[in-house]
Amino acid sequence: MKKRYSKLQSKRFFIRFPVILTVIVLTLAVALLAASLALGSGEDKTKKLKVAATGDVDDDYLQLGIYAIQNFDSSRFSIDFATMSLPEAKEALKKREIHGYILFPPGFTNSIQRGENNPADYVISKNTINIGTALTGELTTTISELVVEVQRAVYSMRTIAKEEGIKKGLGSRARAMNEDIIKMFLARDDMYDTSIVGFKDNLSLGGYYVGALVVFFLSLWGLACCAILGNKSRDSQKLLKSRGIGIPTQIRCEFKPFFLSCMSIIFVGAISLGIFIGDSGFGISELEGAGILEFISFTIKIVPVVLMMCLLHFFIFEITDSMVGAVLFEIIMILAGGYISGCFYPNSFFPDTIISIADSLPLGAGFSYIRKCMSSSLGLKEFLLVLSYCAFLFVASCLGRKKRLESDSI
Amino acid sequence: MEVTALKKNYGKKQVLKGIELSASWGSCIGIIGGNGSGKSTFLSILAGVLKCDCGKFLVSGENLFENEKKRNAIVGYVPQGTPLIEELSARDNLSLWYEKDQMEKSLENGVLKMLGVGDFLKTRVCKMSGGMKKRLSIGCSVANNPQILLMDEPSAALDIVCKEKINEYISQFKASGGIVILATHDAGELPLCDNIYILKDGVLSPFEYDGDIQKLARSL
Repeated sequence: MKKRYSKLQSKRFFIRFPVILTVIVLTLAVALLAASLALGSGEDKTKKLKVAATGDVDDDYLQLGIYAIQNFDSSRFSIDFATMSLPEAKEALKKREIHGYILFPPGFTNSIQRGENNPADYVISKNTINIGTALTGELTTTISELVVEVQRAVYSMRTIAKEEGIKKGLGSRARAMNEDIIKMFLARDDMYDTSIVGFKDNLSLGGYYVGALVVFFLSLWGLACCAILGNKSRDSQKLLKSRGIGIPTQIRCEFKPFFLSCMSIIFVGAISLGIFIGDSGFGISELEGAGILEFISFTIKIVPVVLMMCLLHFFIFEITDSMVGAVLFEIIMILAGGYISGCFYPNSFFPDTIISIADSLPLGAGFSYIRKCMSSSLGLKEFLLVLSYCAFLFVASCLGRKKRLESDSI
Repeated sequence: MEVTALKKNYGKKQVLKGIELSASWGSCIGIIGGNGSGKSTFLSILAGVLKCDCGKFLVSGENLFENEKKRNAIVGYVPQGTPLIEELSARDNLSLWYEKDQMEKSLENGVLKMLGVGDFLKTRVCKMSGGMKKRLSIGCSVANNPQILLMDEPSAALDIVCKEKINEYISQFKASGGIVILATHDAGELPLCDNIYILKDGVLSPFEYDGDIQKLARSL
């Protein structure tokens, strides 16, 4: 009878499958669209900080320094200088058209001639305080000190040339010396090197959202299957129990098609991606060069997470009284759990305590597991946590059904 | 069949306080009680759906609470609702409880033929009427050819024709030597019963039913 019950549950699932698939496809299409928009805005290869140069900027040497930064710069965050008057710079900062402005004080270059360091000020607004601010601040100091040092060298050269009676070609030689020294000093690769470490677990933004999409699909699966999970005959369960088919066996028979159909969709998706993704990986570094085998291997690795998420849905529908209650519970879980575990937006801005709690909850634990699978850094801790949840949710589902049958029998 | 000292508590609430019941083969016992009196709990315990706190369920001297296999074989249970899978057809539902040959035999000249289940074998449960579902439910519940049949309000919310069919089946079951324990609210089923008991305050008390429904109602 166990086999017959299992077979009938599978048949039941098969009948409802077209509707389930339609719900999943439509919802995922919307999610993919949102994700691609997020990726598109977040993956600018060249982030330029717009900075205005204002104040005493007419000097040739200062112009040379600015030119050097704009053209010798090879770091990711390059600075786009625009020369403007002080009122214009203030207005542009207010409108957030620029990140900040460097104010070269009056007599900036004259003070250099005297060997004094009259530093430039970097002015920003509160809203633009971020890592770029710190970098630009550093650059401002660098420009200021660099120009001072370079000009000291150039003026020293001029002084010596005059003393030696060399007058011809001083201008071009000074310019050449400026460029050479600036190139030597302004080795941007040595000054700082910005590299995106990744939002979490060394994943790129795209890789992060691929993992989030997998978790989102798994979260949706329960909702898509609500017609099956929520439409259980308690009397059927009672009769099965009276005929020796206990609650754990009933749940195993009902859970099997639910879990296997989820795995089969993931497998088909993985194989499709493996065939169509090509070498580009849709611009996502973690997917570049990945073939069918890699995708299948990833799918096998995340089986514990799929099992855990399916058991979570099963448990929710087992403990709630009605279909409406279960659907509401599912929606709250997807929204709240997804938000706090960082599926919709990286949760790094939450306090560490919240992040720890979120990573311990089922959705967060699953997401963490998937991320670590993608970055090949999966540890025993994550694996055991997911397995523990699987065991707990199965037992809890059995207890939930037992309680339900008892209360129905009163 | 004999039930002795059956007790069941739900937390601090004592639902069944020492039920005593006996029945001979070929009889029908009617149990009447108000809502929440414990009728369904009592039948669920006998059917093995729930466990009692103490008590015995003796059939031919053997305690069926200690022999699950034998209990599964000789006790049939018709729950209050319909133990059916909505998405599937009548035939699919029957295939869960019957072996293939057994089902065909029963459809030919057994209980399934008597219940008229053969008329709607291909119909999906979600498309069936209440009467069809109930007949199919009874057909599923008696697949193990029970000797003791526990029925929890079998004709609730059914039309007269359907009720008659079920009453006919109960009579036939009784006549073939089985025991029927019938929990009911329906006065129309009481004439089927050889003995009637009232379940009140967790205790089962015999009641002499002479057709006076008002007297019965006052006793509840």
